[in-house]
Amino acid sequence: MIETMPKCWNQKTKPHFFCPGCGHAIILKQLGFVIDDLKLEQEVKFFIDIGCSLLAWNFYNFDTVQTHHGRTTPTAVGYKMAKPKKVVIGYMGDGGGYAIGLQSVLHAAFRNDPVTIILVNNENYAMTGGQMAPTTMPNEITTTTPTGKEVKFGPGMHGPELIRNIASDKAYIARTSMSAPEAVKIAIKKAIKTQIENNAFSFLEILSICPTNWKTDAEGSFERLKMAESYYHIGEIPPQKSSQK
Amino acid sequence: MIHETTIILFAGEGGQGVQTIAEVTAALAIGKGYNATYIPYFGVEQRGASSIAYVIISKGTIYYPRFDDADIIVVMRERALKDIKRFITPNTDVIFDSSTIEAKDIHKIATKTIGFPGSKYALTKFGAKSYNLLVLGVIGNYLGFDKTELWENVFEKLKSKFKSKEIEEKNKLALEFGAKIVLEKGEYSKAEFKADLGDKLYRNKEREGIIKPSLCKGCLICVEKCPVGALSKGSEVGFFGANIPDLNIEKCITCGICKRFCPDGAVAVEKR
Repeated sequence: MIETMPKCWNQKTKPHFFCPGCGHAIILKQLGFVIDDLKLEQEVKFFIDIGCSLLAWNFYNFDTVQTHHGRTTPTAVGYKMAKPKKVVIGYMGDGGGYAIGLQSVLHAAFRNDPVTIILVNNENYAMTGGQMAPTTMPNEITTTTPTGKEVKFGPGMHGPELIRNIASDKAYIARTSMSAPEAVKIAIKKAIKTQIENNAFSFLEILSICPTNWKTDAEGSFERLKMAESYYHIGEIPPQKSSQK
Repeated sequence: MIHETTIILFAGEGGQGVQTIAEVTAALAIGKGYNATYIPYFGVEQRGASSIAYVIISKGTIYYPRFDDADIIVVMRERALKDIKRFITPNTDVIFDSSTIEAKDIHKIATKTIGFPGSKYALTKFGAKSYNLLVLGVIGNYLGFDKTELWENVFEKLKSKFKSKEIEEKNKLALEFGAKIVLEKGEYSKAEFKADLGDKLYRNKEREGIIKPSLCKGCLICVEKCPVGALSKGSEVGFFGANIPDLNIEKCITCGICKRFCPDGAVAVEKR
């Protein structure tokens, strides 16, 4: 029998709750493959946020904690303090990570807490109907910016670059895109290894698609993702040379 | 036939056009001088679970758009049966798609049942996309609406979606055909268009592939990403009522990109 899913996916809860073609499920699949590869199923504790990401509450065979708006990072950090040997992964959307939960993420990076944060950026608030988010790019159409995001609302938010400014040099901070799942897998692996081996903070933003709110088909979704890839820098964000940390 | 107050529940699969049917029905009733409300059912369950719409048509004032007991229930897919159970009373007329739902299943939960072989006609004569208009024809006829009036309302609502004259004509024919379908009472068509949800296996000497219609949501990302065009949009529908892909195992190069991308874990290929 050919396996179509990672081993750590909870098969009883499939089909899952995500929309058809959702980027979340594709990213969660890569995370599943990484956990299978590293044989971490018994060690991983998974923390999810409010928003579309919460639909992953029963996605895996390992324990999942679901917490308040934007408070995923402190909850994960607290768990890690109590059980330092466990591998703690926080999983959130751009609304939870950059809008309501930014200060939590920033302070975790500032303290260099050894947790892995995976942030999925689909450039809108998808669960509530695709409103403008901090990460919406200029001129991008959402339900609250029907003629395109205006200049007065600011540019799209560059989260990893912001976090790099205050994070430790040991921390792994990067951005990848879902259009290359193999690269996502490599980046997730590196982020988890940073937590285990270097005992340092790791933050990974993954650009994703949202066919339901973008109102695109498979082809259109990936075309729009290409626009995001050219606007946001893809790759690891290295520590600044002048930093004193 | 519309009485003093008629309470209608529409239930089916997401993507079947349940909400469109309900909205047009309410708009028609308003056009005829009734008061009418339409409200969709939202929730997490909506993502890949059954789609439900509440409609109330009344001569008097309507105070609240939701209800516990329905006068008429229109059910279009077997999976929606568990969701409509609580709305059924001994006087409820349950109108069901007899070509996808078995009569014995519906008799377990309802006494007054009326069938129409909707999927059979839609799939053999017009294509899956015209199914909602065919059902609307059936319901419009049942409620006693005139079919030209019905078409005018539908056209007003959906004209932006009709991209060519051809599609418009096809949908109009489906609606008119639906209005002519004789409703089945007592004897029903066979449920021969029930979606087949068994795993589809493909095999040749070098490689084998699997597609799981029970998981596929029909996003067609695998078709878009396949580098050699071995996957294509198929004609069969899966658990979610969407077209599932078809695999040409001879063209396949076992690169595994489909498995990497598939958000639902519904497709995989392997070397033997």
